[in-house]
Amino acid sequence: MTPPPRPPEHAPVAGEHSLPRQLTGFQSPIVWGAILLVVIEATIASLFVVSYFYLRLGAPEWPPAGTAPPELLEPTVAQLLLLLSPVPVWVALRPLARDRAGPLLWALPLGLLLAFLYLALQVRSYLDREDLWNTHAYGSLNWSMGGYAGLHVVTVLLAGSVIWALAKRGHFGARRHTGVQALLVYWIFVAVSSLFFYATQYLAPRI
Amino acid sequence: MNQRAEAHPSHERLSRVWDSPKGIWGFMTAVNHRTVGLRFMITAFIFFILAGLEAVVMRVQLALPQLGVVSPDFYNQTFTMHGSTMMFLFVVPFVEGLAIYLVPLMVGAREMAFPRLNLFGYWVFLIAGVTLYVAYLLGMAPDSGWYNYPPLTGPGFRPGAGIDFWVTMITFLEVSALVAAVEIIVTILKMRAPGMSLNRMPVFVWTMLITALMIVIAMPALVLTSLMLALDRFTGTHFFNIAAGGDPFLWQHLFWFFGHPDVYIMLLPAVGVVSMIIPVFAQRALAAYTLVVASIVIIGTLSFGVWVHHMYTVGIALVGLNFFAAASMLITIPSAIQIFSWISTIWNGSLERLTTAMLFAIGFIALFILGGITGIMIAAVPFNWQVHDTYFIVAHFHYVLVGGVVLPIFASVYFWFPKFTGRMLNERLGRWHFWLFVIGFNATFFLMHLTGLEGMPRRVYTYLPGLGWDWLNLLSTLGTFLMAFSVVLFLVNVAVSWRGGTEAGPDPWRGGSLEWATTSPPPNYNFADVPVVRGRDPLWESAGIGMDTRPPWLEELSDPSDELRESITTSVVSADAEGRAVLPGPSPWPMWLALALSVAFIGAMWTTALVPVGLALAFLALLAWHWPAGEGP
Repeated sequence: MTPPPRPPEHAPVAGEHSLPRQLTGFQSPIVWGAILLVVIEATIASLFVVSYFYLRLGAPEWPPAGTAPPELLEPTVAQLLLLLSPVPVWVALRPLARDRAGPLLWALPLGLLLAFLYLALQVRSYLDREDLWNTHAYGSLNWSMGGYAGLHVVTVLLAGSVIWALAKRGHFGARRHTGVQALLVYWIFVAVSSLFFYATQYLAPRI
Repeated sequence: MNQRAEAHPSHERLSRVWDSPKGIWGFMTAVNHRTVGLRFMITAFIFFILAGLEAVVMRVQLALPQLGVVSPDFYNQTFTMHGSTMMFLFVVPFVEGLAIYLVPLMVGAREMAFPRLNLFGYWVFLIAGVTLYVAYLLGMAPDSGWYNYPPLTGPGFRPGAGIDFWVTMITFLEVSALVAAVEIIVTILKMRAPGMSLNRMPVFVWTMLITALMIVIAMPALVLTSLMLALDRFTGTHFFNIAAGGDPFLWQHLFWFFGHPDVYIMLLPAVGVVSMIIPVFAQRALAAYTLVVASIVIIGTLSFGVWVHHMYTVGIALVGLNFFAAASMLITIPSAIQIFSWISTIWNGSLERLTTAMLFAIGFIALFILGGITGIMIAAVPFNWQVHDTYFIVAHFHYVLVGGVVLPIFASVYFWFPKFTGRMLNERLGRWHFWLFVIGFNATFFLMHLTGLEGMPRRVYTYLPGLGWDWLNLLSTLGTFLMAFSVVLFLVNVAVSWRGGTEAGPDPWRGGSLEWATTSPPPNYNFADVPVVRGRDPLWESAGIGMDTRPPWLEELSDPSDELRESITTSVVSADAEGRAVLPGPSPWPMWLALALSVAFIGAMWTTALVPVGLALAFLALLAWHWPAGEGP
């Protein structure tokens, strides 16, 4: 029953040294998990955008008659703030990899502040809106996309605060910063995906 | 290979580190992949039995014209629950359980990448499934079919609780499927034994990798669309309300963008199971391994381009239909590659060992070909218009899903039961099970092709005599009883053999993949010596497994003096050893997270105010879950 033995192609490389326990970057399963979470979320976000244009395609007027196109200035400022928000942590990662955790301690609060400002501006502009989620499908799309983006920023704020609390306790260093990397992967996704929502919700209705 | 795990010098220390708590506390907290995997399979199988009983109720109601065994309303709830259970509570969770159990063994790992996520997924699955069945017992089950089309399911036409249960619990269930998928992908990519490069992975592992990737891309569509329907029902949005700018076809597009890949999400693992079983009993390596793997990848990709073939009758431009018809027919090519591979494996091998597992695998090939042929027929637009929503469709998809998925699931149980329990299933009872099931299946569903061509629509609660459907329906019902009886035989077989079956030993079938290299059932750490792989069927190749010199990290792994659960991580493509992943042990927090989220999901049916409450509780549970051990708050 034994099939003809194949010659061994290449012997697996196992280092002579002992294998490390603390893995970062693409060596770490945690980072792969964060990437897959982003893939799931990105699929939901893109289908949201597809749904928006699908409903728009079937509509005689967009925005519906009697609804003004959304105001542009405040959401644009908010969007820029959110796009900038992951940058400080991204910058602080490099010293962290060289075991300098100091920059992370100020970079995190700075980034979280930017994300919080986005949230505050968005909440304000939504409270000013005349159309509600139950006015028509256009309103339903705007409110649910805004809610989806907002919930993600809240997640970043909560997770970032926890990471900051851990960082204060000296939890992260050169060998151990997968948690920060995973947060950053997610944060960048939140910032970039909201850009697509922004283009859909604020730019597209004016075209 | 040790016959007994106790013989290994590190056994005692390793099993202490990897030990699971016992009893109720263990049920709530144990994370070991084999415990959770087995639990997924058993729970899913209980749902299979419930869905089978629902099928019997439907067939009894339809046995003769104008019967009144059950009320029309109960009939609607029953066919909805039958479909929803089979799709969401049986096939996907069972297959994921099988993968959670087998994938780490097949790739030579001690545990999966995120053990606690496994446990969380199980609790979500259990809570969502039980909630749906509580609704059914209370007479409040969803009643608009397993694909739940608006506007019928919108707030205007179905104000009751039934659809609320569907939209919330199915979304919740998808969370379970998604976390298991992430878990399976990362385990396959990062935790394979050193030397198991991608081109040496067992075919089952390949199918699970592609399946899990498909889940990650497809299931979010269902999550989004049922979220939209939930918002329409609970908060008054208008996604599917045509009067306010919405569109019910949006549901159909999003649902089938999930729904058609979902068919292959169920089918591909079956392909993997059969591709593992046939080579072992034909006693030769799988023919055209590379082509089979390529065809799995192609099917996974193409399956995202065929969803509109469920929507031929809704009035889409013919140009569009042509594209989807062509894509649907194209899928037959990679499927045929797989079928020819199995046939030529058997042809060039031997058929001497025609065990029950092998019978089920061969039965799968035959029935799946029949389901595939009717699939090509209904991919053609004009024919599809003719038979749309008739029993012909019911016959087609039962050939694909029972022939193509349930038969391989039975095959997998006969094949790996010795690994799960250390005991063999009874072969004689197994043969009875196989033949009665296949005969009953064909009696039930082959005739439905004719019933459908005679024009009987699906989902009707009863019919008038004299339409030429009477004898067909009666025979279909008799076939159902035969199938049900054969499943009883199977249950008896499992119950008796679990304790009293013949001892299996580590490798009863002389298999080629790594799960047969450890004891049956495996010790809680799977492998004392992490295998190093040098070929596609390591156990068949004299130099296929093992090491010339023991590298120092192997000694460290088998000597867990600092009491950590560790497994090797390797590079994605070539599986070179990179590090040791330290894996978490038992924890109550995954269960609490699942319960917190169910406050949000179940609570949404009463008041949306409970959603933020549930999410806040979930944040607390996540915090406790992830807080580094030994660092107190």
